[in-house]
Amino acid sequence: MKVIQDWRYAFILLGQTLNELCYLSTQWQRYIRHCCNMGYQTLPIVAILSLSMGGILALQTGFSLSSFPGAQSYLGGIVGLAMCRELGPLMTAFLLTGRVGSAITAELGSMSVYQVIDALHTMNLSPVRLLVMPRVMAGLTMMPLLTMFSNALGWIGGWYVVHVTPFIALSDEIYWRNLKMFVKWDSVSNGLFKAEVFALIITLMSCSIGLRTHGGPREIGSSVTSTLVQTMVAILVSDYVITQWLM
Amino acid sequence: MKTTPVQITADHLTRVYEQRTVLNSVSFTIQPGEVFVIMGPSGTGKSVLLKLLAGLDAPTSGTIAINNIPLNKAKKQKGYVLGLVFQSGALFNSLSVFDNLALYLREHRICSEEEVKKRIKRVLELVNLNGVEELMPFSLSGGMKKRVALARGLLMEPDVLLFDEPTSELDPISAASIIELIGYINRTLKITTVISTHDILLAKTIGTHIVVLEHGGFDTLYTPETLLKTNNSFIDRFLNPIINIEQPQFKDFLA
Repeated sequence: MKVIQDWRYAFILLGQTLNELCYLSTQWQRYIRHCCNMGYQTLPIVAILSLSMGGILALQTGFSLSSFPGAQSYLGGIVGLAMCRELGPLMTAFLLTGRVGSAITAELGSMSVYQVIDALHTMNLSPVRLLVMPRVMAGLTMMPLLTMFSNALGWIGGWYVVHVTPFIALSDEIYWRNLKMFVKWDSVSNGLFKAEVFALIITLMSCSIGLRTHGGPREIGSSVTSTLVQTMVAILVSDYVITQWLM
Repeated sequence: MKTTPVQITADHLTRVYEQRTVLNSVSFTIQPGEVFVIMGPSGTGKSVLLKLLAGLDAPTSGTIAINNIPLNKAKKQKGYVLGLVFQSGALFNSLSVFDNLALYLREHRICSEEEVKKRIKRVLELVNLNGVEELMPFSLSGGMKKRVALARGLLMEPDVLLFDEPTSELDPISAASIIELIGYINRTLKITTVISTHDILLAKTIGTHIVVLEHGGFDTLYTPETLLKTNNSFIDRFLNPIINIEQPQFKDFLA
């Protein structure tokens, strides 16, 4: 029941956010700050994870393909497509949920519990305009950029493993040529579309659950857990639906 | 500072939370410029009543009117400005004192940045908090937070000021200075003031009218003089609690 209420409120929040979009120019300082927090400060962890994921993917696939002579030449395409269509957006979304979504819920939750949201209402200021809309817009801006960064580092991670692993026996040139041959703009744009949908889910769910937190510190903790679980499930379900739709 | 004191009328206000009646058919009229004090033991609905008056919650039944205009309509018409000073201060922890105070003026684009600085300097002098502009709320004491919250309320140039437990968690000297400040502001600016409190010193010093809530309602509207002379046993117990260590009222769990 609570899950349904959370989703219902997230949809209402989406409508209210769209309604407040015309005030983005007055909230640009908050928007830039959230962009820095979501984007710049998330870069190191995205870099580590993407490099590792690209490398591991190349190693596992390269090992399996080594049994089939000539099949290893497709490694560049496999890593390239897997990163930009699936792993890049999905991993970035999970990282953003853990790092940013939980922080948004905790911050808005404590504001709600300690009456700061009520204070905004008495000042005739809209919490959606000040707290939600800049975060949603920052998420929509930074998520595709982080995803592209993740894709590129995943490809580089894959190349490095190919380069240093003797049993894969594939030249750098063939790896990159094959990657370029398979990865077309529509594959990248599919991933970026997913990234935008995931950004919307993460920011709206975390704001929705945060703003509706009541009680005390324990409830703030529960709200953070709820955000993580609901957002991750929603990301996986929407990922499947979008993948099916874009095929 | 431009304020227009307003009249507040509550008519048969009832608030029920999950089948528990917190306020039961409460009616009163607060005259423009008066200090209306809501007293009563914990859990009798003081804060709920304050939330209803602030429009942060809706009554289950009954109405509130500002200058005889229903609250919702008055809010839409922006016919009055209401400031609420929360018990905890309710300041943005991520903003400095200056930015907390400037929020209302900046977001509503009421004046230029230069004027914002002037107004904040003036109001901080009034609440005796010079030189705290750059501090963050978490580095302030409880009393200072309440003063900053009061300063934020005053910057809105309110027609009504509501206070939720303004002297709670304060030492007697800080509490006395807050009472002085509220009294001074009310006398100088004639702002209609509503205070929810346990503090009899506050009520008898600056209150114009006082109600004591019991089970979500009250029978009599007191003045400070009539409150102290009442022979109502509940109010007498509330104002003069008896502490008897030899025969405690709670069950002796050591026996």
